[in-house]
Amino acid sequence: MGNLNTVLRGRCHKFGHDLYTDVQVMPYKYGALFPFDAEKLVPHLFEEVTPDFHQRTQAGDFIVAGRNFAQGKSHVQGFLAMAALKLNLLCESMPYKSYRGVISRGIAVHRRCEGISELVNDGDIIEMDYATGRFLNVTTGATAQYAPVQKDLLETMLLGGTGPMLERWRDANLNDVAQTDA
Amino acid sequence: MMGMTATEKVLARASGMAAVRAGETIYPDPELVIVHDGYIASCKAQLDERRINKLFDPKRVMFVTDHAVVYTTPQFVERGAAIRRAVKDWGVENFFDVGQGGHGHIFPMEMGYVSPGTFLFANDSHCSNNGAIGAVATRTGTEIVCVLATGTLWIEVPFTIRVNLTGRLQEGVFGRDLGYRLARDFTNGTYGVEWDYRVLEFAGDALDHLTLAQRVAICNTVTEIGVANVFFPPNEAIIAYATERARRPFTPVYSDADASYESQITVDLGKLGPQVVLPGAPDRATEIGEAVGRKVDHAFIGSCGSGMYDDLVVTAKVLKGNKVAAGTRLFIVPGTVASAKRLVDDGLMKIFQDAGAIVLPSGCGPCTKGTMAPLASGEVSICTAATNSAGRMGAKDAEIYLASPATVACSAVRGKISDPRAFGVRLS
Repeated sequence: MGNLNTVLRGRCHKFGHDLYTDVQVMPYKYGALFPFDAEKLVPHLFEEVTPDFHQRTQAGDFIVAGRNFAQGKSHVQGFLAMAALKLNLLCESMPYKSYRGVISRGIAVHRRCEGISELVNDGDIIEMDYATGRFLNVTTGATAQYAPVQKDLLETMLLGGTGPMLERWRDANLNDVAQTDA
Repeated sequence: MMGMTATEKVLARASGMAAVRAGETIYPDPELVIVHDGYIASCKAQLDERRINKLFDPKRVMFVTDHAVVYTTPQFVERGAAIRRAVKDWGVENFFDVGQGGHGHIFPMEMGYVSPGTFLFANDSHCSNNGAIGAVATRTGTEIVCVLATGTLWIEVPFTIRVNLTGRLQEGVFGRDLGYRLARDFTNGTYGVEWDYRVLEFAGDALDHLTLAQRVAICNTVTEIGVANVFFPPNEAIIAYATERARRPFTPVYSDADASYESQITVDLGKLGPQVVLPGAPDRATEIGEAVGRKVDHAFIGSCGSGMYDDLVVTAKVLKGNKVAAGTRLFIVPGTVASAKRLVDDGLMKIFQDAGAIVLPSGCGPCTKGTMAPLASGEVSICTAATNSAGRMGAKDAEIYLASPATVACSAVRGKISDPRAFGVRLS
C-alpha cells in the first residue's frame, strides 16, 4: 500500500436502512440542476434526513448506514458531495452499482459491515482499518472484525478514485507522457 | 473441484485463470469494447485532460451511434464532430457513424462481432442483450474510460440465479412479457431471492422454443432492476446463426452440471399472459386486463429490446390491412440498418406505411429522453422502451406503459391498450 494510511478515524453519523440514492442521499432534482458541481451539491447531502447535515461534518467523518444503502438509481451526485466533504462510508450492504460509484469517486467504503448499526451511536468516534477489516468504536470500546478490503480497490478509494488511479497508471505505463512531464 | 457457471467460465478465460468464483474481484481482458455516442466525446476529453493520448488497443474498440442518430439539437451536431475527431485521433477502425450498423446492443451480434462465449465491456447496461447469444457483456458506466486507456477494469464475479423455464409461451405472449413479469416478481419478493448484481441464467426444455429475438427481449427487460447480466445457453439454432456471421472462431460456453448457483427459480411459460408495465418504473408489470382500454396518444416499437427483425415481422402481422387509429401516432424503430433494408426487400415497409406508421432510423428512437418523437404533457404512450420512468420520453407528466411489440401494435391500431389475443390475427 506504499505510504497510504488505511486506518481512518472520525466521528460517526448514523443512518438507518434502505436509503435511496435519489431521495435520502441526494434528492435527484439537484442532480438535474447542477450534476457535477460538488460545491452546489454539498448543502443538499442527506437533507431529507438531517437538514444542514453538511454543516455537522468535518473531513474524515464516517457515514454509518444499515442495509441497502444508496438503493435505486446509481446517480453519482450524492457520492460527489460525500467525496467533497471527505467522508468515509461503512454500511451493512449496498447495491453493486452504487458501490462502484462510491469507489470511483474516491470514498473509503466497506459495504459488508454486518451488524455495525448495533455497534455505533450518532456522534461516537470510530476507527476502521480498511486493510485488515478491524473496526473499533473508540467511544464505547466495541469492536468487530470484518473482511479486509481488497488491496487494489482500497488503493483506488484512498488515492481519490478513478481519475488519480488513471494518472498513476499513465505515469507507470506511458513512457512518452512521463518524459513530457519531466 | 466444483464446476463453474457459464459466466464464471467466460470470465475465467478472459482473466487468464483456470477458475474464478462468485464474489472474487478480477481484471478480465475483453475481446471487444463497445462505447456508444453518448460517452465517446466525454471519454476523449477526460483522457486528453490526463494526457493519455492512445487507446489500449484500437482494434478491439468499437464505437457505435445509436442514441443521437439524426442530431436533433446543435449540441448533438457538435458532439458528432467531436466523435469523428476522436475516431481519427485514436485510430478506431470499428466506427459505426450515424446511419451505420444501428443499435449497438443488436448489430454486433447480427454482424458477427459478438458470438457465443465472447467477453466484452460496454458502457451501457443494456449490453446485457448479448447474453441472448451466449456472450458475457459487462456494463461499466462512466468507468469505460478506464477500459479504453488500460484495457481492463476491476469487476466482481457475479453470483448466478438459475431460472428454469417450463412449458411454452401461449399465442399472443412473447419474451418481453416474461421479462416484465420476472422484473416485477424479483423486486416484489415473490421469489424471495437476492437479485442485485446477479446473473440470471436461463435453463430448461422451454429454451428451445425461444428465438434469438425472444431471448434479446428477455435480457433487455430484466436488466433495469439491477441484475449483473442475463445468460442464455446457446442451442443449435443460435450456434448455426452465430456461425454464419462470426468474424473469428468461437467456442460456446455452458455451465457445468455441478456448477454452483446461489438460488434457483422455476417459471411456467404456459401460465403467462400478456403483461403491461404501468407508468413509473419497469418492474410495475400487471396482467394486460388491468390496463385494457386506456387511450394512447403515442406508441413505439423497436430500439434495443424489441428491434430484431422477428419483432418487426410480428408488428407487420398486426398492421397488415389495418390503420393506426386516428389520434394515435405509431413509430417503428428497426434495431439495425440491415433490418431496415430488409423491411423494404420483404414488403414490410409498405405494410407499415399503408398503416400510417412512421419508420424512424435505427437506434434508440424515442427512448433517449425524447430527443426524437417525444411525448407532450399529459400524453399516454405504450411502447417497448427500455424503461418508463417519468420524463424518459419527453414531458415529465406523460405516462409510459411498456408492453410487447404485439400488444403495442394492437393498441396503436385500436387507439387504446388492447389484448393481442383478442385481435383476431395469429401472431406467434
